[in-house]
Amino acid sequence: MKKGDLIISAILFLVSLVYVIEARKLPMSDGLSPGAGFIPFGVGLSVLFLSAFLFLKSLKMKTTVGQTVFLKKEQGLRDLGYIMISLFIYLVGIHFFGFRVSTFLFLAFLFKSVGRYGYAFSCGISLLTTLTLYGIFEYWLEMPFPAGRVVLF
Amino acid sequence: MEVISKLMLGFSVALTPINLLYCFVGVTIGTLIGVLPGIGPTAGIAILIPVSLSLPPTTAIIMLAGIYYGSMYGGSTTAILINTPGEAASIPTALDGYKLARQGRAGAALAMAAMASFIAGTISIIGLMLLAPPLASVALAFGPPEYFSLMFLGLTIVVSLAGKSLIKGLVSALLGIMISTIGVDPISGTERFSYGNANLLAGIDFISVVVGLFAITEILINAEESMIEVFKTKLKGLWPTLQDWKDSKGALIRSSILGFLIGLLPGASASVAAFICYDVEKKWSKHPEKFGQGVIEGVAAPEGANNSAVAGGLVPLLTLGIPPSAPLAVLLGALMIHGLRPGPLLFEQNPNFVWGLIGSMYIGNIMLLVLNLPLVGFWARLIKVPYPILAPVVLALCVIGSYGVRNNMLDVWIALFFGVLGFFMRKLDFPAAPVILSIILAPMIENALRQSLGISRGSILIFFTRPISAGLLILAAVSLTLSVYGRIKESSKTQQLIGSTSDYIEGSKK
Repeated sequence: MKKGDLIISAILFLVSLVYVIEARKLPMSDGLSPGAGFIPFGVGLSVLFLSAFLFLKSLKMKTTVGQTVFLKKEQGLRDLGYIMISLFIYLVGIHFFGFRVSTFLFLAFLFKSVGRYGYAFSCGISLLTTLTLYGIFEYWLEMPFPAGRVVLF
Repeated sequence: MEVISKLMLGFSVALTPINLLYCFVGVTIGTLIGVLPGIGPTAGIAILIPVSLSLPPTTAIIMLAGIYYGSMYGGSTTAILINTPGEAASIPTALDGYKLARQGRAGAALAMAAMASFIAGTISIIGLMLLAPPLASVALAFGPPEYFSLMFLGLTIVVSLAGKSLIKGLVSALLGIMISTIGVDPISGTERFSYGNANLLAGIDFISVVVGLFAITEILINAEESMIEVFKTKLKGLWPTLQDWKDSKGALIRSSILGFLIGLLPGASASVAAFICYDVEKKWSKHPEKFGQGVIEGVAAPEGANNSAVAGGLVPLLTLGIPPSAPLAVLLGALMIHGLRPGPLLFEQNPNFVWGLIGSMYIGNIMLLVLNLPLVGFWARLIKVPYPILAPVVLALCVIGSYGVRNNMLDVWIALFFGVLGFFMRKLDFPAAPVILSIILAPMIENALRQSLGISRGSILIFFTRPISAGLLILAAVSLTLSVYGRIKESSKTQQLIGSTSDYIEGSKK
């Protein structure tokens, strides 16, 4: 995975560079013992060097025939996209509509789009699951889930 | 005699109604987690830690530990029935177990897996019972330098967890340390990398990271690949024959002892124990060429080993605070959340908890045998739940689990972030387990290091002039050397086993 390794090692290099710069702002010593910045600085430097090494190693690597495809361009990629995007929207939705409504919609969407079930089945299973989760976690275990800003029910 | 009286104390704790109930809950959930591909004991324990917060500490840990060793029982079911190991520790089981199932002997294979797990689990708990107290009394001599050296020894596990690339494994481990530095420095009170965000002052909770890196990532990986087909094998004849027992008795004893000893070592997880014991049995056998074609000892050995390694792994966890594997790293976090600090004082200050846990493991093993044997048919039908229904439910549970840690949506966002990050890490062969291990161990290492250098006024000789510390650092050097050597050797063995597995999968498709 030559291209992937090049990209990730470059990202790691940048992240660790920022981390090292920030760590230098922390005290390195408390007088008698290492300070709050000691370990972060050392670790950041280590990642900096390792990512540089990985980058150079990836540059030298030959791209071979039959290497693993990073992202498959098939139905799986679409399902992956559905899950990632719906997860993001689900979490945003919890802020606005609360846990119960958002969970119902999230599950129903995935059952329909990824599972490719019918609307009635998807909504039915989603409702059953949401009620079960509500019963176990909110009612029985009294976990205080967000109610949301827009109260639908 | 003292051990017997302490064990009786343990049983008196374990046999209380609430502990019995939650032991049953834990082993049942663990079996379920083991049966279901896509969620492992690490994620399962992490998701249920928030649920356990409402329970007394002993009860909570009994339940969570039950999830771990219960998952070892459950992982064999899908390995045998549909050639899809529920856990990494059940991969060797699939090699012969699935072949036995195709020969119409799924029942015998499943029953042998359950009974091997029970026998090996029981033997290893005896080892835990006998070895844990002596190790605890030795550990009382530990100071900050000894703790640093011990945690450093624990970090050498990273080499074993590094996967294909040692460099990437090291980067993962260092990333974990970087994550653990976010928040307030516990020694000086200095704010680090939180940039005034009140939520980040408390740091990044490791449960969110675990849920993301293991559970969410696994679902994303599975979503991209094709969905798992339904269970097709017909079950008949549940019980192993007398000949099966004769063939397996040696394998059971050897894997119980060897699996326990391997489980003691930092870096050697249940899956490592399972692979090694399968390989040992194959070498021990008079007919090694039959391994992989459907021999009952090919199921007994790895299943005995992976369960035995669980109890072995609890010895360094409880007595020294070193988790030898990812699930035990999460369990270590759970112990600390519940105010139980593993280490030499745990046996002194919380004997009810320690012996109650040991007692519950005996009981849990019996419960698992009772669960797994009669319910084999039920578990098999559960696998028929299509993955497109299972995956969204697991995702919802991930949201609940990560939210429940601090009742803060930031933890859920962190879990999502690490879920996506973990997806790319998996694609690019960056292992996730070193991240978790580092997040758990790094704060302890940093504290011990800074305290030690404070005592010695900056001289690192303190780690080499104190005998126990020096001994541990030598062990760390040996462990590192052996791990690197083991990686090279395991890599060639794994390639052979994977080659065999691929042949079986190809053969089974025809």
